[in-house]
Amino acid sequence: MRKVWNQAKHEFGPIGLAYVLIAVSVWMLVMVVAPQLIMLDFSLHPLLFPDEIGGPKDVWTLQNYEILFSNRLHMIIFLKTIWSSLLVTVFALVICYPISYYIAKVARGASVGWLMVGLIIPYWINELLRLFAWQIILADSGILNQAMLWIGIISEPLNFRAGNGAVILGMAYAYVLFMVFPLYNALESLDRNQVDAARDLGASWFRIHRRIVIPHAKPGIAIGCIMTFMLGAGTIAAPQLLGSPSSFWFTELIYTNFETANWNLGAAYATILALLCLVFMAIMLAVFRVSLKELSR
Amino acid sequence: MGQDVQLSNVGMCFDEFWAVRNVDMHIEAGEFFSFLGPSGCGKTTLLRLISGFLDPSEGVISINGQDMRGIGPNKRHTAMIFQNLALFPLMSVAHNIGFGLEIKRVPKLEREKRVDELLELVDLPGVGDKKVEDLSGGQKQRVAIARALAVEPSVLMLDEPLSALDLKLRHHMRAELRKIQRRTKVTFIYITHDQGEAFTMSDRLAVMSDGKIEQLGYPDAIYNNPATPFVASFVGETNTFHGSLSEIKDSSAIIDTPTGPLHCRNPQNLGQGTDSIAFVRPETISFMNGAQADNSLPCTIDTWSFEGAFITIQLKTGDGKPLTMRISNRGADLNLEPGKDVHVAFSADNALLLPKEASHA
Ligand SMILES: Nc1ncnc2c1ncn2[C@@H]1O[C@H](COP(=O)(O)OP(=O)(O)OP(=O)(O)O)[C@@H](O)[C@H]1O
Ligand SMILES: [Mg+2]
Repeated sequence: MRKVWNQAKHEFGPIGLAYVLIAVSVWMLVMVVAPQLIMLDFSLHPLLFPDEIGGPKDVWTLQNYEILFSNRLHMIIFLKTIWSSLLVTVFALVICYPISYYIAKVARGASVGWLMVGLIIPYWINELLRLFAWQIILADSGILNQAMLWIGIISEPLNFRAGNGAVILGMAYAYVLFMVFPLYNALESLDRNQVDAARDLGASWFRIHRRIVIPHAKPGIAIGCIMTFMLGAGTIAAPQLLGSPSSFWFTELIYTNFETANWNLGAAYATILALLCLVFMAIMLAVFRVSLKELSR
Repeated sequence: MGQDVQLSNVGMCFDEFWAVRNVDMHIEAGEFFSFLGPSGCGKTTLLRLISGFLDPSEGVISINGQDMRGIGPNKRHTAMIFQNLALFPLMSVAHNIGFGLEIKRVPKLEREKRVDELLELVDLPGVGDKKVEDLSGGQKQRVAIARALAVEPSVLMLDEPLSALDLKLRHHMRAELRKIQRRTKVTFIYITHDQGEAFTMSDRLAVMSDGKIEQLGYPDAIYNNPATPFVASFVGETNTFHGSLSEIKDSSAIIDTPTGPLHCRNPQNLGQGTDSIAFVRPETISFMNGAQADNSLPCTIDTWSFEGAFITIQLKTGDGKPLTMRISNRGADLNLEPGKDVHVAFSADNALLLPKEASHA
């Protein structure tokens, strides 16, 4: 700590250092800490009429949090969100691992650049537009149904958007890049000779990946999973644009509460969602035995 | 036990570039064989072909008489020690060494016993629990050797394994490697661009250039009788005299050079008029002592350097050509002075005549 301090003093000079410290703390307080605290405060108060605020009923309580556990429907939606986010994460990992490995270790020269560009180009377009595109593809009279009808696989258009499938697909598509880049970064730094050495010692491809490549990529896998999970759990665009009207998502629940002026319940649910993400992060770090230090590698 | 390796007309082409071509040779079982050549001449490529990481564009590689086409590196009885060692940094030393055995599903107890034996063999008892990163360069080197030997390969390939070590450690490891090779009787294929290494360690060696084998043979034969101008100038130090062959006398020949006519050895029986080069090693040149010599040249001393056992003297011939000679230090005062006129001599046997155009069959 002392070393960091001395180095910072050396880098910025006393005035610069004071500026950096003030700027960082103001930023942290105003932009990060304060809104969170305000939200937390909201979530711990009951929903009151304006004239009751400050009155005897205005006390700190956990009743907003308890609603989640007493309302069966809300609980189901919450669990569905966890489940779907996990599914999206696993799906993205399974798709992205080979892609990242290919780009990082197999492809050579110009093809690496082209693959990268190919992955990034869709992200030049706004997330909403991409989801609208999926809407068009998956619609009853959409491209996919038309194509399948024309080939003759189906005789009636399928309603892709009936369940949660379309939402999960949309989310996986929206967040693959957040899985690819951490994975690519981690795999990039793997020495090709280590793969060759393992192969030379008789290891099959499966063993090479299990014993050499995946252990090396652990921090990248952890980061990719955490990001995908958080984005998946926190998205509202995908469920709103691709979900069927009958399926409701946790983010939509939070949104509705804020919309209907029950900020207190909305804040409580938002806090729960944030806690969920923290818990997931802690689990990932524990499962992959990655320390926070390794993440900054 | 070691196995032999046969390369039959092997070539490797990377998009129109032939990194290895027409390699036709045999490496004996249990031999310490080296490939010596400058950077980029295709040594690593050749090693990757033998270990199976590359498939030859043409030709066949057989190990122990078995055609290796279609057999991957994980199925060959070969092991490779990589130029950068490629130890697994996330595993302990013992896990590194035991990796190949783990893959072969050797039971844990037996595996641990083998790892201990190997650590003993490479002179590193008791470091099994250490992390790879906590080892010194020489220790890592030995762990890499132990890891490769653990799978009991018949052929062990080493890609410039000592190049990252300091001089003292390098000399020590040369002897160690040689000792390990004698003890295990595994066929060693060793790559280096350091001729000292190739000469002191190998039973036989091949000198490579531009993807081709220039010469293959015993170290002394390659040093004393280089077959091509490339080998003559790449291996050891040498002085060259360019000229045209003017006269043939029995086993020797005379070439006319700007410095004057020189009597040379003509092992390739070059004909009259051939554009040729005479190669003369610095240590075969001596000061004239009055006796008759095949070749004697008047020179002036330019500079000299005292190297303890040797003295290396830079001379200039009458026509201004630089010439290097090396004499052993016998303790007598040689009276060397820059600008001093001297006569130096060398025998026709020590002036090797080779054709200017590399003569490949
Ligand atoms: N995969 C590849 N694709 C294209 N060219 C290659 C490939 N591998 C090697 N080469 C080329 O083949 C030639 C020989 O390379 P190689 O690595 O075998 O040389 P080397 O003798 O081991 O050199 P060094 O002593 O520097 O290690 C080089 O010109 C190199 O650029
Ligand atoms: Mg090489």
